[in-house]
Amino acid sequence: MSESDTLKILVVDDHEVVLGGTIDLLKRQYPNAEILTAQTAEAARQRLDEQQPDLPDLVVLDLSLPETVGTTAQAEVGIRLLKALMQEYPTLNMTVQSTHVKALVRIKPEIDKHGGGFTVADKSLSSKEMLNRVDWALNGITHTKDIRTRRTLEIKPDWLTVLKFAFYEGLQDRAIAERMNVSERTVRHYWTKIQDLLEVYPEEDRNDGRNIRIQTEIRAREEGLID
Amino acid sequence: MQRPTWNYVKAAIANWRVWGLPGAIVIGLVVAARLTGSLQGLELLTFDAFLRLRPPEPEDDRVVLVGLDKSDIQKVGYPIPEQELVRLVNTLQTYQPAVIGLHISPNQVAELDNAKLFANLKQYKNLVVSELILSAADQILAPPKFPKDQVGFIDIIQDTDDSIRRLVLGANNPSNWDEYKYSLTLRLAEKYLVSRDKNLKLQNGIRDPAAMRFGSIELPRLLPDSGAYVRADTAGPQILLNPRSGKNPFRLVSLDEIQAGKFDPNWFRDRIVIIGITAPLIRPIIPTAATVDTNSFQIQAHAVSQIVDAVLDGRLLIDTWTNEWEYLWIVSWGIVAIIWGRSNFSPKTKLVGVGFGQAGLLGISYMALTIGWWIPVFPATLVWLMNGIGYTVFHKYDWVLRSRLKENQRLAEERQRAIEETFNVIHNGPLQTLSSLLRQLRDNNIAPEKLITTLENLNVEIRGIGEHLKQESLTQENSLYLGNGIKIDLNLPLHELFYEVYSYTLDRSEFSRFEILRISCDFDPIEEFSLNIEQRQNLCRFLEEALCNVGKHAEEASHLTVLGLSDNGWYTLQVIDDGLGIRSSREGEGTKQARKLALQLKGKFKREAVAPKGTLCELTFPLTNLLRW
Repeated sequence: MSESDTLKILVVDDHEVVLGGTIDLLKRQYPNAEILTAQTAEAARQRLDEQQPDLPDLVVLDLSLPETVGTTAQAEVGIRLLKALMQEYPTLNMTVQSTHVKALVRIKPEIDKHGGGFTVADKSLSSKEMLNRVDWALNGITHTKDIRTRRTLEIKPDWLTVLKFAFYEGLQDRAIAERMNVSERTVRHYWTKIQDLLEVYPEEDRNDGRNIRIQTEIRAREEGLID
Repeated sequence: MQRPTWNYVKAAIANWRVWGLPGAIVIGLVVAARLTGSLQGLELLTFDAFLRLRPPEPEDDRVVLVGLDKSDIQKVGYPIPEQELVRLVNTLQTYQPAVIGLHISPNQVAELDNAKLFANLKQYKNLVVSELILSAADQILAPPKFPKDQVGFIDIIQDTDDSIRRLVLGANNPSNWDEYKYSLTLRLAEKYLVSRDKNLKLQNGIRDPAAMRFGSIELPRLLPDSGAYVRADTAGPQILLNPRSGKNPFRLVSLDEIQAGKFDPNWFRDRIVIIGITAPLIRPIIPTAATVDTNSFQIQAHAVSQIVDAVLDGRLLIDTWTNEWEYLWIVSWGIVAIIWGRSNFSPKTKLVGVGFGQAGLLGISYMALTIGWWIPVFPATLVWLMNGIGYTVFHKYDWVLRSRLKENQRLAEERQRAIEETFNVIHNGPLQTLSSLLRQLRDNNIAPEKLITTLENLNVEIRGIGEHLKQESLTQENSLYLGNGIKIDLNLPLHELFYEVYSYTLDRSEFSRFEILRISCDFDPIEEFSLNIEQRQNLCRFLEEALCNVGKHAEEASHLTVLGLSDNGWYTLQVIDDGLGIRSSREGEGTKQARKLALQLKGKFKREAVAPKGTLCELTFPLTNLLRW
């Protein structure tokens, strides 16, 4: 991580023990990172507000949260917080930790629209895998495989257009952005969504971006998205 | 497509064995009861009642009775002196009757010493005298000098309830089996018919060679198991008595009236005159289906009249179905009753139907009798009512039972889910705290104050679980269980609900056969919250159903579009596939539900094929109305 010296991470979890565990984990991986914590949804919103405009690079969020200190923790509160954050900070990178990730299914459309990295980590994942998801989120990658319906491909027309421009006409992202009349950033965002859909995720010993693109093309052909 | 149909048929047949069994047992019991004769008495009473119900007939102009009543007997004495009888016969002969029958057995006649006077009556070729032959020990034969064709037996056969329903037309003489004798009824009928038309001689039947026949009219012969009878002694032949209905079936003149000349000579000319006794002490009343009281003398009149009128006027003779037809008839009513009782009409409709069916059964049976067919009413009634009412009641009970079972199953599943959820909550909360604590304790790197704080937290967490579960159970009625057992919370914004229903439904096994289904899905947000829980539930069900239909029917589909479009105050839910679509035009339960929902929301529903192939399922409803609710 080139900017790991200035890395800022907000961890939201109401369990002090879990919070401690997560922080330990993150500290080991990113020794120089500045780690902020919040134990309620209210505190999380406040913390983010305080950090403006220098927002954290990543929010690690537990879904089951109390609204304020003393109230019961509920997945509902976490989901509300998540929706609010995605609306307010459209490019915020997020990793959602939960024991019940399926609760996220109903806000999948919002997640698809979110411009930042978004990964889902079930609490039962190993530390290594968990750190992987955190790393992906930091890199703006979307990983929602765990909350998707299984055997089907839900694809947006825009994503198909990106695929066609890229693999039929061999266009670069900038050219695609021009042709589609969107920003280059949006095109990159589309790519993360497509890669998430096709389950093309970076390996731990990461290859360069080109290989990912080729993998994406292979998978897209396999699934019949392009001929 | 053929395999499922075949499987369906097989399942239906297999089911028949289960639910058809009670009905089959009822039918079997009724048939068995009838075969063993347990129903004979009741069936015969029903038969009598039906016969009495028929409209009255006018007095028979062919048969005239001359009866010695109580005062006649007192005047002439009993047994009747033969000179009185001879005088009476001589008097009547002067009015030229066609035939005269003497329904008085020889032992009821007091002979004079020389015993010649009565024997002299044989000179009248149109006269038939009586004898009793069927009881071998007590035979009372006619004077031997009478020619055979002037003698007929007057024995009667009573059923077990003492009623007369059968007539014996001929019989082998029990004390001399080679000798075949005819009844007075048959002798009188034959003599009279031949006197009208020489061709109307007694002959063997054509349809049934053992039956008797005059001209083209065959007298339907009773068999031991005909009609309601079970192993009846029908040696003979015998026929069923079809008594003449009406208050005055025959003209009756007493001896006193003859002696006093109180009659019109034309009453007797060319008629069948039967002389007998009406005094009740000598001729007690014997029950029959006639509308007026009858004794054996009057039964004789009914019998003769029945045959003569049948031959000359085509009056009905009563016939019965063969056993096969009778049992087919009974079993059919039983089966129709089962089918009706199991139909999907409301229990009230079904009971009314059973009532109408019963009325129809009685009506058909009565109509049949009026055209001469005695068909089994009573056993058919038994199976119809028992199966009809039984199945209606049981089907309702069964329905209640099954829905209760379903509910129990649902509760059990819910309980299972609650247990799992409780475990999850414990596992993800306190257990984690506990294991972390254990690890720290083993590593010996925990301060006592930290230990206390952690334990306190654990305490709070465990208490929190109880609260959490309580809240879960409180919101149950606001949730919806999807087909695959997943519970969703109906209080969420509608478009999120839709997305949840969509996601979970596509996970169902119906969709597994679409290797890759490319989907576009988008639900415009609806922020209004004015739909009530039931309406939300119905909308979710509609979406679930529409998606399931794609899974079930959209063969070869590769694209699926699921849209929720908000436009100008209207919201449109669309499910479009490019599969082959449903081929049957039948409107399924789901479609009906959708129409009902559309009506309820003041919206529109359509389901149609789209070009080039595929199906569109669409529900549009106004958002403005949502606010008013």
